[in-house]
Amino acid sequence: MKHETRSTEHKTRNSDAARNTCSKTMLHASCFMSNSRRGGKGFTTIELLITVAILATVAVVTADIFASHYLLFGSLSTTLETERSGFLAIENIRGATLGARRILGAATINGVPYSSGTSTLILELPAVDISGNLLPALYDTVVLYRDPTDQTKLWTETAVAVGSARQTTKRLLSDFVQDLIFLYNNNTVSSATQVDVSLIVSRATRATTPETPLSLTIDLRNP
Amino acid sequence: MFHASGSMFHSRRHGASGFTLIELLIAISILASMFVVIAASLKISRIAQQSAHQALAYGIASSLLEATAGLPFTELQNRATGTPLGIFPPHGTWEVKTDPNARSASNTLALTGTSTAISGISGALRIPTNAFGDFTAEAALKVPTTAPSGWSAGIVFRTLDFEHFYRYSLKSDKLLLERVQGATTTELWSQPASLATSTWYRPKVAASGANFTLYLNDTQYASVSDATYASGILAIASGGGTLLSADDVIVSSPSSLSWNFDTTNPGALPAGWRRPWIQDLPKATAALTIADWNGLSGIKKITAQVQWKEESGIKTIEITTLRSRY
Repeated sequence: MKHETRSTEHKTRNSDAARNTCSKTMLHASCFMSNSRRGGKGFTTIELLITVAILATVAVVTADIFASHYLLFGSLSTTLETERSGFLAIENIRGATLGARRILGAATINGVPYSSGTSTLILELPAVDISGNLLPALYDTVVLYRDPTDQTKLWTETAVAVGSARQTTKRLLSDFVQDLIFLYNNNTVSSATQVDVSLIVSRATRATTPETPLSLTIDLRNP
Repeated sequence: MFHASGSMFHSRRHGASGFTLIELLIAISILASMFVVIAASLKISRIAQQSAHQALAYGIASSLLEATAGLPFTELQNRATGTPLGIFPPHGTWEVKTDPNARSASNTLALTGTSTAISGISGALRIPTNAFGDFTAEAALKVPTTAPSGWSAGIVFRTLDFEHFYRYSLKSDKLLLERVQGATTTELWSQPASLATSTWYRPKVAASGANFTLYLNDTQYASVSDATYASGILAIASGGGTLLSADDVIVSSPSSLSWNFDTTNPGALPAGWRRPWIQDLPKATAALTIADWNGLSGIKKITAQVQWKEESGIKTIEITTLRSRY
């Protein structure tokens, strides 16, 4: 009997200790054990369901945070990339036009014929050698054009005179063109002295289609 | 959270209520993470938008200056008004709208917001063609019933800028051809007429050399001569602070072009009609000023300034150049 009494006291102490641990930390694994010990049962169905529901809620909230984060930063990086492409394109047009001698109505550049118009601008630039000296009566030709087969692309292509420091190139300035128009202050384009450029670049993200409108008026310095 | 939910049951069993510290900390952490993500994203978004605004503002300021580069020095008179010179940007807010009474169903090009009148122009939008000397152009125009009594609607042509153009106008009481030259507006021809609001009218101009033939609804009304401006751009314009609808814009010579705006989404502008300008910036203004440099009338200081409003305050881009007579 004496032995049984001690044993019962020992169990009671253990049970109290476990309960104290649970009430203090709420995190001790024995909390659940102590519940079982006390009632001699596991979790009730309702406890399990609530736990699962809370876990699911937390998972959804966390996933939503990451998804929002992913979408927002994806959208922002697309916007920035589109903007950069627009800035690059407009600066290239500005740079080419400022150095131009005149607008050409038509030209064959690297074997391809082009005509200046609302979506194509051909410029003649004085050729310079590697030391920056003008090459008399020699000219480089630059064409800026919207790709007729893929209107989202804006290309520039250069054909150079012998001895010119410029290089024969074909470069993609932007592949996000939504709208581009060259308008001239003379209907005979080769006599024009001013070009108005309107460029709108945009690219769809999952959420929106942000656009960057850019505008430029260039007066030819050496018409 | 798993443990926390266990503790919740535990607390309930003991009759306790509320959250434990760890539950509170986890909840705060989740909320804080969400706020940090949202705040960071908004900040980056704002920076991206501001950089786009800056690029456009720089383009506008640079265009204002560039447009003066080709003008003769004598045209560079001192000015404080800020009116652009040598360029004719969009004036007012324009967009395609669905109109059940469109002349050709179902969309029209609409001036939905006027701007401060310059040379009597409350709203104007360039027809996207090159500058023409000889041409034939027409547009169906309608002003709303709410138009102010001094309304006018018409076509401006051989336009160099807001101070140099011809204007064929329809007004409530007359048809009118004017020449605007600086601050002077000269009436070249007029004829009394009784024109109503909310009615489509179709003015047409045929220009050949110094001769202009004017029509309304296919009826010829006048033939006028003036040789002041040989070439310039075409635009649709309103005056007297009225809003305006346009439809079936046709340039039949020297090119054959037409727009009925029916394939353009409402709220947008057709390809080519949109010239990015201050209407693409929040609450923006653009101004060109010219003054003598250091009191020397032979050297002009030309300043282009664009201002717009960001959440952080008013932003300004200002570019200045000097132009010498010599």
